[in-house]
Amino acid sequence: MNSNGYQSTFIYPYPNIPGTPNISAQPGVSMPMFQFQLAHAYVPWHYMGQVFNPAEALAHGTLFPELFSPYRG
Amino acid sequence: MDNKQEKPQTPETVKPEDGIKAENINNLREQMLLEIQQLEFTAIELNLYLDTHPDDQQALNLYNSVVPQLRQCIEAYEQRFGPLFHFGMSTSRQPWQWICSPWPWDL
Repeated sequence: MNSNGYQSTFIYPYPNIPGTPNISAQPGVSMPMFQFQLAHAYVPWHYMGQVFNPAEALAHGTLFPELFSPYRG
Repeated sequence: MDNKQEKPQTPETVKPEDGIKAENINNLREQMLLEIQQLEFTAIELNLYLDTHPDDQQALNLYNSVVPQLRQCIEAYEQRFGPLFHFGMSTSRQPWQWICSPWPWDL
């Protein structure tokens, strides 16, 4: 157990994720076990290239064309 | 607190010989405000980028070119339409211009 009482590697009983052990997630499983780190962000280092001019930047909500990606739901 | 004046009257700084017709003063004001907002946004974006890329000369050059433009636009706006900041940035004629010029929502 590490300091905050959780073991460092866990097996999270996701029922239908391929590659995870299929421990069925009975309700009341007291100690959830996580196999995968919950969140692991991958953020490539940003190098400034072309930029919008101030008018475009304000309109696009960013100075960097490579970061402009509106959600078209 | 209720605002001093009901409708935003034309500030006396704009004299007829300025060649600006009264009714498009507001879109001159809005134009100048928009330019300030564009420059401010660019400066903020560069600030955020430079926080993580302090040695990026291209970003520094751009930032150093935006700041004087921004200062100049703010000065031009304030000289004509009154202060954009309520303290510490520009002096005021009498009466205290901050409360005599229209609030953003009154424009």
